[in-house]
Amino acid sequence: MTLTFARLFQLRVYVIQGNSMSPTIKDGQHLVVRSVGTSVPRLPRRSLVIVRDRRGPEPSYVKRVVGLPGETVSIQDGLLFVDGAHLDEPYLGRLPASLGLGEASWEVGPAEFFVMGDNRHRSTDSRTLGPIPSALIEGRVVLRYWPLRRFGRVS
Amino acid sequence: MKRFPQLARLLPVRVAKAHCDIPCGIYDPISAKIAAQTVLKMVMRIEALAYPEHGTEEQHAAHGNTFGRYVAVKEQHADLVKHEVDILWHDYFKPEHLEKYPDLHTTVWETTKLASSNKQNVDLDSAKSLVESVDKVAEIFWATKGVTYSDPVAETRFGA
Repeated sequence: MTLTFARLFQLRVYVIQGNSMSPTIKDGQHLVVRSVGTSVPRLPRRSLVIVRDRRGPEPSYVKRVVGLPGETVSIQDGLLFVDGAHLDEPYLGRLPASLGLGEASWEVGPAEFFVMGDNRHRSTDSRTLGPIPSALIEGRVVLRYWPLRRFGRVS
Repeated sequence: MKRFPQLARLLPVRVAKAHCDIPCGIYDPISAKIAAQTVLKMVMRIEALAYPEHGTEEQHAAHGNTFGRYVAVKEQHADLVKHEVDILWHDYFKPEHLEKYPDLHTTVWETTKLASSNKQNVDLDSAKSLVESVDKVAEIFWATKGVTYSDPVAETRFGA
C-alpha cells in the first residue's frame, strides 16, 4: 500500500549526506520528494529541489531554487539580487549572508533554474555550475520524515 | 530508519548529496581567525566611540547608527567563529587527533564559549582571548598535518 501510494503521487525518498544545506537540512535526514514532470516545472522561489549531477554518474544534490526561468541573478556587495531586487533569505539562519559570495551575474535561461545551497560557505551550486537545466531537476522536496522529531514541511 | 526495515524495503531510499565543497576536504582555521580579529576590532571601535553628549539630533542619530553597525558586525563574526570552529570539530578532527592532543576538546569548547561571551559583552580582554584561543585551535589543526602554525601577517591583516 505504501508503494502504491508513493507511485500514485510520484513520491521518492532520499537520505541526505553532508551539510551544504545546513541549517535547513542536516546530514542524515530523510526527505520525501515529489517528482517533477519532463516539461519545465513550476517551482516557487525558495523551494528545495533534488538536482541530478550533470558532471557524471554521481548521486543527486539537494539545493534551493533562488532564480527562476528568465530572471537575472546577481551578487553584489555580498548580497543576492534577483532582477535587481534584494532577495530576503531567512533560511540562512544567523550566518552572514555574504559567506563565500563574490561579485557576479547570471542570466537564467527559459528552461533553467538558479540553485544554491543554504550553507553558502560550503556549497557548490549555480555560482560555480551556472543555472541548472530544468531537465536535471528530479523533484521537489515535500517534507522531512526523519528524524521523527523534525517531521514536517521543510522551508 | 533501521528500526523500520519493512518500510525501507517497500520504498527504496536514494542518496542526495549535500557535501559539495570543491575540492572536498579543504579546511583552514584562518576563517575563524579573521572572524575573531573582526570581533576584536569591533570591540575596540565600540569602546572608542564617543557619545555626543551635547550633540545635535543628527549627531545622536549618526552615533546610534554607527554603534548599531559595530555591534551587528561583532555579533555576526562571533557567530562565524563558532560556526567555523564547529566545522573543524565535527568534520575535520578525528578521534586519533583527540587522543594525540588531549587539550583539543577543552580548547574548542573554550573558544566557542568565548565567542558566545563576546556576543553578550563588550570586553577587550575577552576579545583578545578569543583571538588567542582560535590560534590555539589553529596550532593543533596544523600540528595534525605536521605543520608548525604561525600567522605572520596577523597584525598587518588587523590593521590600525
